[in-house]
Amino acid sequence: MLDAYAFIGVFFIAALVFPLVPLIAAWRLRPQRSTPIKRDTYECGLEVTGGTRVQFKVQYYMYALAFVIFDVEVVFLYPWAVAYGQLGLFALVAMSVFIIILVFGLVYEWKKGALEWA
Amino acid sequence: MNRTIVISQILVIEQAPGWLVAALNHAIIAGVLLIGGAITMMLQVWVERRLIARMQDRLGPNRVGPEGILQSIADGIKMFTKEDIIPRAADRWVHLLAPIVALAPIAMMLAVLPWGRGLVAVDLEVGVLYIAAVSSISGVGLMMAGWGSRNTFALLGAMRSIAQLIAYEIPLIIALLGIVLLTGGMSLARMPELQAGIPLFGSSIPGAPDLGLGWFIFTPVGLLGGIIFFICALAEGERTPFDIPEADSEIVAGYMTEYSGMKFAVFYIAQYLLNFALAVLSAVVFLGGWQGPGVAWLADAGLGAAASLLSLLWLLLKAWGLFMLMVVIRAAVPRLRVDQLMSFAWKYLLPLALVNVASAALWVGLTEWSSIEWGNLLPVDGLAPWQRIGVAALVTAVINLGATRWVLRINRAPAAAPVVVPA
Repeated sequence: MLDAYAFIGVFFIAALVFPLVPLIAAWRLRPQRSTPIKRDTYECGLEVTGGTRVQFKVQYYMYALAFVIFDVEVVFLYPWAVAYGQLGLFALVAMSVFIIILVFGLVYEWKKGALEWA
Repeated sequence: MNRTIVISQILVIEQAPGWLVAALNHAIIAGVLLIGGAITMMLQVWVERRLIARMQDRLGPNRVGPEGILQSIADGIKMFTKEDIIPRAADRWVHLLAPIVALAPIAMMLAVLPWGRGLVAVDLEVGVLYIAAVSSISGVGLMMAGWGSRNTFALLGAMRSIAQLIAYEIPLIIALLGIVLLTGGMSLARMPELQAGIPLFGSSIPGAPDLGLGWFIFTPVGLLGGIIFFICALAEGERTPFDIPEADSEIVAGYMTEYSGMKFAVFYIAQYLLNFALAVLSAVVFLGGWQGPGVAWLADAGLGAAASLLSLLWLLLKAWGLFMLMVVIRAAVPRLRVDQLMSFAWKYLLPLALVNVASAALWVGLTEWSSIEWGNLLPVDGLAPWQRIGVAALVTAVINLGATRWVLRINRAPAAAPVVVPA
């Protein structure tokens, strides 16, 4: 068991090296002739006007909230799913109640228009 | 794993400490997987370009090497010699770290995937959870790229991609949950082992031959889950029709706008590697992984190595088939609008995925539980296992079909108001 996580640890280091190798090799190989014009922010050939940090629709935030709710739900559902075979009818009823409460939440969001991109 | 221990014992001095030998073993396996991933990525680019070209009545790259197969290597060499342009306004460090943060987690997905019969790098008990956790870190890299570039196009692309990734992650994980319910474990290495036997009934009929075709896709739960999973995999991998974050006709290249040279290539590698990892994952969870006709016969005949080789070929065949399906979808389907994208995840896929979990729970109840849990409510108690599977398949098929029809109906657009022509 511990050996499995040791492998994940070694793999993590290898995965970090994986993008670093081409990046470092390219850093040694490529030409470096930077000019002020080259380093302008890209804007389809025009001069940049106005700020970069534009405002975003509040809708992104609404979706993020819904995501957090359902992501936490999933964290509870996975242990249940693994133990389900041994727990029997009690697990089915208990989790049905939990899911139904969450489905009510989804229906409420839906009816309130929180899932509309408008 | 024992075979690699021998390899590394040849490499190091005999008195090397145990942890060093173990670390070297791990490093060798990790290196093989990652180099394999890099080669796969180059092949993917070539296959995609040739296939798209064929569908668009062009030839595609066919000059470098036989049939143009070395095109990706030529492109790679070009990438190494391209100047790296960092905009003056950009945050240098975030700009540099973003491609690394985007690629490393995706490379880590390769660690737990089972590649063949006995060909598993590591059998993690929480494999499904690991995949879900690791793959979502990559989104941080995309946001870093968009924010660090200090470019409006890049920021718009990053916001779009985060919104898309989180919207499709939920149905993706819940679709996997249905299969976790069926198997009672999150280990990815065990999933192909449970998909032996014949379609739908698996190994439940005594005397039936082991065709290696008991794939979950042949059960109603696996079919709906597999379709949801594959659609979500398209969205997570930002394939057309879900390529809104880098819609070139709208926001240049999204979060990659300010990237050039090797940093751009690293984002590219990340995307193709993610597509391949998701194709392998779909194959492992829903299409039987390395199971296929012949694997069990070879293993029974005592030809373990041949069985492993055949199983690896089956897995690669399925994974490449799924990748080519992604390419064909790219050539055939136009890009979605952002409101369609969001409502498809939250209003179609999420309710269907939840219903599918309920179906999976019923399936387990109908096929495995005895009447002790159910009192006298369980009429299938006296039946043989394969008869119970038949009943469960019928029940879950009706539920899933009904749910699909219901979701389509409640989402139907209201009839357009009649156009009144002024007199």
